[in-house]
Amino acid sequence: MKPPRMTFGGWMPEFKDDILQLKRNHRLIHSVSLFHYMIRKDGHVKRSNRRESSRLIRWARAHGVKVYATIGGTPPPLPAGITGGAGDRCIAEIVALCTKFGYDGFDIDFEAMPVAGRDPYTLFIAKLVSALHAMTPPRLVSATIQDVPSVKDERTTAFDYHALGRLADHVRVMFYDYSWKGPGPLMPRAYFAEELGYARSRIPAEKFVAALPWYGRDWVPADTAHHDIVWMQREKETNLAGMEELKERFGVKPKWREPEGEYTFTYERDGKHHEVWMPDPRKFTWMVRAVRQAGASGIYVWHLAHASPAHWRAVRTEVRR
Amino acid sequence: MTRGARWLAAAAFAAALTGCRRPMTFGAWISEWHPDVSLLKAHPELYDSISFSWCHIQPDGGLKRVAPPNRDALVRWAHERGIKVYVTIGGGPPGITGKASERCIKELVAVCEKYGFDGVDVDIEGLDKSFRDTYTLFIAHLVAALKTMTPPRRLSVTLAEIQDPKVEANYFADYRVMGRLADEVRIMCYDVNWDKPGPIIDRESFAADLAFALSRIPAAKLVPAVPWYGRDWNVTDGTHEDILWRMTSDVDGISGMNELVAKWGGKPVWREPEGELSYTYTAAGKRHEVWMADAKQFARMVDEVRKAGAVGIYVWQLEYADPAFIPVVRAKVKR
Repeated sequence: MKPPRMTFGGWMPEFKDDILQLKRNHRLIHSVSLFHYMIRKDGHVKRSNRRESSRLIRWARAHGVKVYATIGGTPPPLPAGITGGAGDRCIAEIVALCTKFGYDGFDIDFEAMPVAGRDPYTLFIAKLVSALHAMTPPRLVSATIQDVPSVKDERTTAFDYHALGRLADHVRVMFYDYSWKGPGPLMPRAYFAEELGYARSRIPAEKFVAALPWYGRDWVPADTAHHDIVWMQREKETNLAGMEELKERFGVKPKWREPEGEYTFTYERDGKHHEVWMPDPRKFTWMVRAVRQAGASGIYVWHLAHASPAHWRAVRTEVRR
Repeated sequence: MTRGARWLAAAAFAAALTGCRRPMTFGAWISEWHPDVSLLKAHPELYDSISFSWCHIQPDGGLKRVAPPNRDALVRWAHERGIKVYVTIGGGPPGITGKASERCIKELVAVCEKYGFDGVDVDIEGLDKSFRDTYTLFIAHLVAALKTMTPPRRLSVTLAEIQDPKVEANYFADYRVMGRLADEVRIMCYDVNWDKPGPIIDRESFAADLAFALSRIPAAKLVPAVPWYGRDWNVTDGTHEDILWRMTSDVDGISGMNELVAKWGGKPVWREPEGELSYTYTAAGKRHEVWMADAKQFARMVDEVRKAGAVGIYVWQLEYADPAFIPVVRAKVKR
């Protein structure tokens, strides 16, 4: 029997190359999330420098792509910005933005909140769902949440997986950033399997969306610095060299590493040693297969900009088949 | 066409498409006050679930058992016949707030473990809007706790009937949120008249209740709860008592409908447009007016629930009910 078709979507934080990627590949995309907003401590929804484009929204919807707006935030504005009257203000502003720009839904991407933010966050999502579902037409609520492997870990976060799995229309679990302070894979196989199993035990299949990395990380271990890189980025355009450019310029040959299931390579630049871990289409493929096996309803990627054609081939053959 | 009527029409069309002949679930509450469970014991095949009024939440979150001791055996009896058993809890703040709420949920989990209850039915009533956040969090925490049990337990929330969004906005439970968090939402479609004599639930109110509930709660989780009881208003004194069909004054201290008619004569009258039985009598110089849900009204309500596409129907309450309800359950609910 043919496995069910999963949905595919991606965040758009850049509004340059990601728009090109959307326009080229819209037939493969079920939804996009425009990273336009940040929350402030008083609940005000602050727009980023990039203005909303009604034209882009209309174009996407006309091509069958649902459009979410993403609102981000981390402490210190959180959890204050979603608590009490500030939370009510935030919800009222989100409703107004949905009305003004015709978004199909809102994606809530609040990260690094302390466990004290757990009840305010659950309540915020409950109220937001109630408000957005009362709109005509009803709007969708997606909760983008941190990945955890166990109930013990979940209890140290602001995310009640069970409650969110019931309240939100979609729960996007971010399966990346396993390695942060020091070089290492963005998501090793074994840990991914553990987290996938945990998320699936709490979130109904039809609401569960696995968020996967379309980016990599370049560490300079000597000074503990790192930055994220994407596949087709060019230094002269974005001030950061992407994977392809690094390979060309430094003559590196990435090595596939097991059991991590991810590419890695090192190079020297300006006297500094760099170590890169890079999820590529091969890694994306095994992750999508694992997600499908776990029974999730869709895949999301961070992020669409500067993806390689091979990524899109993988979407076509593995996700939307 | 009103918004409510549009909802009902849409739901009826959906029900027609999905097959009007599907059986609905049927369940009944059993209170802590009366010993009679004869209509359960005689027809166990008709019941998908029963809910016992089992305990009340104390201010510190602890649970105080109110169910009589003989109910333990009834839980086992029901399980042996494949009937799911919910523990119904009543009470309210401050027992569902903060640390007290944690204790309450812990004790509920323990009660479910001990007696093997299949789920918890939260029947907290009479709170105002200021408890909305407290109640939402309590339900969110409870569902998380029940779903991590082995096997996972079900969560039902029992809510008052509402017909107007403005009333719901000032109610302690958000219908939409409860429709998401709970496995089952039971809407108590009764008690439309309280201070003054009138039907327990008239036709128009019932249609409006169903339409409003369906506009916020998925049909697959909606369980309208309908009356198997009546109310006897002492019009002279301005007091009232709830009555059941087969109650007797020597056992319960209150006469049921059958005993009232036998004692005071006359005949209950079917009233339209209310669609309910009514009966008046005078006792000790005081005029009484009784409104009583009967099998005819129940049959009509079942038809409407089915048309609306709701997953099931619940009744308050099982004890001393009229046996005439049973053929309706068999013919219309479980067909």
